[in-house]
Amino acid sequence: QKVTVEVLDHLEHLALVDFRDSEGVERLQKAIQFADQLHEVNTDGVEPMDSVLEDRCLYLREDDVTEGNCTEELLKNAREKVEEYFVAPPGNIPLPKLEERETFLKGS
Amino acid sequence: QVSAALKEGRVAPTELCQRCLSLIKSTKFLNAYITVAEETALKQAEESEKRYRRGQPLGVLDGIPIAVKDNFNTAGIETTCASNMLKGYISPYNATVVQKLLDQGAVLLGKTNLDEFAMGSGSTDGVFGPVRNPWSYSRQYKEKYVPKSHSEDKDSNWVITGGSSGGSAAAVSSFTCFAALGSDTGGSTRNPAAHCGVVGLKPTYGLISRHGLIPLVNSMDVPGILTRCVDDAAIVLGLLAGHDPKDSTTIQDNFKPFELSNLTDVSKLSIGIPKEYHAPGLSSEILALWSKAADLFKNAGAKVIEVSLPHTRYSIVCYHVLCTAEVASNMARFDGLEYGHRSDMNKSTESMYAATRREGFNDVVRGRILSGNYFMLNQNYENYFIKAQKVRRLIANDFVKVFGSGVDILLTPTTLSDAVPYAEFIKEDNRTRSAQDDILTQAANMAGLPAINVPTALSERGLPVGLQFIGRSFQEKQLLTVAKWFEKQVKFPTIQLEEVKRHDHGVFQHQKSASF
Repeated sequence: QKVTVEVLDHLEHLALVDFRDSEGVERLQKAIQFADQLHEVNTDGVEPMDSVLEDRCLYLREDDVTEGNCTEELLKNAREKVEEYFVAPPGNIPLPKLEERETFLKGS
Repeated sequence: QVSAALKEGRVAPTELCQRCLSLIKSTKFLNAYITVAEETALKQAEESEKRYRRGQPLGVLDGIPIAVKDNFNTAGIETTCASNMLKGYISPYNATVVQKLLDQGAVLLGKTNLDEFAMGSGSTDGVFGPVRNPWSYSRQYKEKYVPKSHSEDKDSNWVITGGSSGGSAAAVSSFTCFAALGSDTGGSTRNPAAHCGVVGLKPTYGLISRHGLIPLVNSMDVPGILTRCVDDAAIVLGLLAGHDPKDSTTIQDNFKPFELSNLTDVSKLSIGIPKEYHAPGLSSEILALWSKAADLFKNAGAKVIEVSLPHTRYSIVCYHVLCTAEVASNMARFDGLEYGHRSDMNKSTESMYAATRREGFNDVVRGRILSGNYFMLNQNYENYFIKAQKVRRLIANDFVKVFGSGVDILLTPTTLSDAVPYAEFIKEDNRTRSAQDDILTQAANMAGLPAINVPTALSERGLPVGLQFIGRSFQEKQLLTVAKWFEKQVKFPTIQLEEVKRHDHGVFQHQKSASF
């Protein structure tokens, strides 16, 4: 089953990464085909494993401030900033719909 | 050896540093380093020299030149992950493992090259170009090389280092540093170690802090150690292991650094040979070497038995799903806002993010992000992600069963073949290559077990082949003890490089001769 354009579009939205060209879409198709091999394995009664350290207690430290005050250092790596703010373009504007944005999927 | 030389004053840290730096320059064609921190390295060497003069070295690693893979944060030094996304990014802090090395007085020479964001098994897919295996220029390889045609370009037969920690492996292999840090998620330290003829250790998950290691797969990543001998790996491990409050996935047990004893009696050892590691595509040469190694243990009195890890063949598929899913999550932080590349597009936050990521990531990274997102869609989550997590448990349980039945160490090949020429490697795409090459190393990451590549012999083409030992969780001492015994038996030959000969002094020499 081929992945539909709707799903591809949806993925571009979720990932905020584009497929670039037909090779990109092919790559996903192949990846899914490859992953389908998982269904050959019988996993009845098997619990999913999140971490190999699941039998241990996770380390939690005391909620005390032990470091920080490095605003200037951290801001150094940002391109757009104003005083102590990172500056982002206007939010609340969704990524343009399929027909309106620059994407390989447009012609599909 | 070099540490003793420093202590005895036979060589000064600054001299050692200078020599390594100049060797880096003359082996520039290997493309092992992305950034060479010449000034800071020399300063560190000077400080070390002062300490030695006062008779107060910080430890065994004081003054020793090391290199670090470019996906570890290093304060004040550019950290790029071989990606356009982080070009120009100067880390504001040191990764814990880097800090630990610096605290011991190690001299950080520079950051080594890798596949972009550690995704790959060739160290060929980074924006700074591929890393060349130093053995491509060795007398051993050149002697055996038969050009396919008269007109073949002299420079076109170089072989890959393997990956993704290829730069680190090449750096250690070409003598430009004495130890290097890599990372290992699917075999990324052991694979290049095998191809470059160096020791590559993947510690147990949870033993060494990942704080500052730019994450790929949080549940499998570990910092890896690359050195020229097993003893060195044990020393570095001793300095890096232990709980880190900044990484809550490090275990809290007290870690005691150990010195490796010289094992003489292996009769109490039980070595397991997992039959599934006789994977399709395994070269007959490596199969023979593996068999020879098993016999070596048998003849020395150890119990060598065939075992089964039935779910081995699913580890790559399982990895594929879990890795892409975690990658999709981990790469989400790269949006251009706080660090790294930022696109000029500024119509909206989302379009800026999209453009930034489009410009910053290569095809491999983008492909994994998109695949990962696919597997985590509501309609797919149960069937792919959760399913993969279940298969992961089955893979981990295979090991538990085998180790529970009395086997101490598993012996397997590390790679399917010796290093292939770059021209051949790039004929297949990254995912296919990774899927093929990771088959022997990936399962250890799934189960979080410690594993080590020990250089074993040269192939018919004059290139290194290594074998892998996999141990029980947190039993690095046993693992390394056995590895050291094996290393002693096989006497892997030293690489014979023109460049190194010119810079050579007793300090760089190791004693070996080919005999395995």
